[in-house]
Amino acid sequence: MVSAATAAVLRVADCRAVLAGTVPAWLAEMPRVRWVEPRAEQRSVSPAASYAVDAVTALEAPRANAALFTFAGPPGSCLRLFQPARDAAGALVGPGFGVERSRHIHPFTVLLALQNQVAATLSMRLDLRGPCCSTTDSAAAFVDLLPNMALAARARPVLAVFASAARAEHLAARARPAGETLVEGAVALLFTAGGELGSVGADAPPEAGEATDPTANGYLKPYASLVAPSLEPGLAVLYALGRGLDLARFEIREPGRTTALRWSRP
Amino acid sequence: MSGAPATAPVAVLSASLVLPGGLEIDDLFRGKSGAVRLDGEHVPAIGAPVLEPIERPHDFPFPLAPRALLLALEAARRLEHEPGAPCGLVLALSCTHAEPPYLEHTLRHHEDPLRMRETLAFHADFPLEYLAARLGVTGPRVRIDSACASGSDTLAVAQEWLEAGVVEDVLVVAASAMMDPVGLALFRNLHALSDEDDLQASRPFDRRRRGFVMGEGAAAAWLSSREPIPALGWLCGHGRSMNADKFTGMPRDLDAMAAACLDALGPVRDLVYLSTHGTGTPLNDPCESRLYKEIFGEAAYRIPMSSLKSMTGHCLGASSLIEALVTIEALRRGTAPPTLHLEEPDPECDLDYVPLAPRPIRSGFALSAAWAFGGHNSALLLAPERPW
Repeated sequence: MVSAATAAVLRVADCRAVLAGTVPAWLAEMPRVRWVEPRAEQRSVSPAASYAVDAVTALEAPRANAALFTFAGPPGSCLRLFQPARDAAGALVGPGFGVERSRHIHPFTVLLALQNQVAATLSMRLDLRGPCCSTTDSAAAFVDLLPNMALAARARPVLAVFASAARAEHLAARARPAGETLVEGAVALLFTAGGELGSVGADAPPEAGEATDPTANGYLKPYASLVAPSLEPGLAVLYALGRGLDLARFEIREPGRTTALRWSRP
Repeated sequence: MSGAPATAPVAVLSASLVLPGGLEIDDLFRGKSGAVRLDGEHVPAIGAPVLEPIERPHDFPFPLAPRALLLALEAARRLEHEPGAPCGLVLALSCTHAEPPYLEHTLRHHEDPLRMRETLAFHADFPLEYLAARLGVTGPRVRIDSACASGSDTLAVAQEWLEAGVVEDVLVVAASAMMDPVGLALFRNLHALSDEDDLQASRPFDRRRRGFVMGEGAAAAWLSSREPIPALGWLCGHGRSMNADKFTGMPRDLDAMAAACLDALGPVRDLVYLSTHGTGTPLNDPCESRLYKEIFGEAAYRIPMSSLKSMTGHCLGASSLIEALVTIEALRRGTAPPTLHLEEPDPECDLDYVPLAPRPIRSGFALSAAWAFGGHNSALLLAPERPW
């Protein structure tokens, strides 16, 4: 039986990526990817938002009036922004902090602390005024939101943007196996009714304990050593395009769960 | 605008609120404020925190827990729900990485992986998956963040899942906890907060307003497309847009905000109530007043509208879910909650803001509106009965 979730299929009109970090060879050779140096925070723009603007700007298909779905991971470290206040007070909060020393927190810090900054920056820089669904730390939910995107696609193009930047504290908290590769940046996917590059839809997630057939998923092996928070669905499409795959199944893995994405090409 | 409604209504079967200042929902229909005087470490001195103790679950797996997640868990605990399986979950949880315990711990220990593991509850998809496990949710789930429009957007995503037939039940939860020295400093330094040492400092649409009063809180709701079912109310439409203008200010033109409202309204123009965003900042309130005049023309003057933030303060990412659920309750009771402290109306804010005292309203449609930092606009059309 075909469920409503798996029935939602979106046609890809364009796909572009701006990536930084330790580059695995298989990804470095992909077309549609521009490699850049890792970025630092600007006064009011986080690295993740900066990558996202560049990835969407690189799209060649028209994106005006698009519905925007953003999948933001860590936007970049906020620690540096709070360090002056802590240095001045000796502690970030406590006696005396709230009066004068809290002034050491720059007004624009709030812009970098808000997790909707990727969506906001894209809208402001690229004049996107359509509906927006801004998600955070939910790359696996890309598959869950395909029906929402399909509803939006009835009326307008749909722009899905995946963006993240290394958050030092996030990485420090994780157990990192040897050989792991960290990639940050952004991937932009444009879906239109006439998109000709291929289609994405939901696939059934793996059952608990189910062994995955690696021959059905060429992306699994390179992915296993790649840490790219919130970028995985976009990287899956890049990979399928780069390798010229006609049919593929990708698992979108987060610490708490796994969803699955189906790629097909006419 | 005319024609058939674009979306099928979905039932709101149950709701729960965790309100600031010890408020209960009845208090919002009596015109009671949740503002309290904060302790000496806080500037500004007035806020609307959740007063009851919010305990960490005894089996919480990490020593540090985001307060926003604890508020979300409390709202979920209070929610009466028996959804079918699979059920969806939409969570709005903002700014957990700006909570002082996280920042303080991380600034001290960020080079110590063992100590940093204590912060894992703040990272990646832990909050969403932990809440899903507590609620028994196995269906689609997502964590969204559109700043102060987040709560409203949880309902929009849920309505789309139900409309698409992905699931027949969705739980939505929104929580915000920035009532701490860091959160207050972030917004105070932007000159968004009122600096008055006055328990009546939250005065939306009043000419004396000087900014919003920080609040915190949470809300949860159970939505369903199953029928027949007794419902608290109905979510009949939603609209969203982006301003493509400023991050923190109001936009120069109101077209995008109007588009969100018009998408939510569909063919409906006769409203019996409008829950405004109504922050009490100098910029928001006149802009919002102009917007409703643009959309409804002369009829705008006849729509009772109020700002719940006059009582709850601004609960940021949770505010628009709290306000939508209170709007449903207003329709059930046939009573518009008041805008407190509105004693000297701003001439630029000359609509009917139901000042000071609650007022009876007709049965019919209501709009709940939210405008957020980053330029997110979100509006919801609500009704007490299924309209179509």
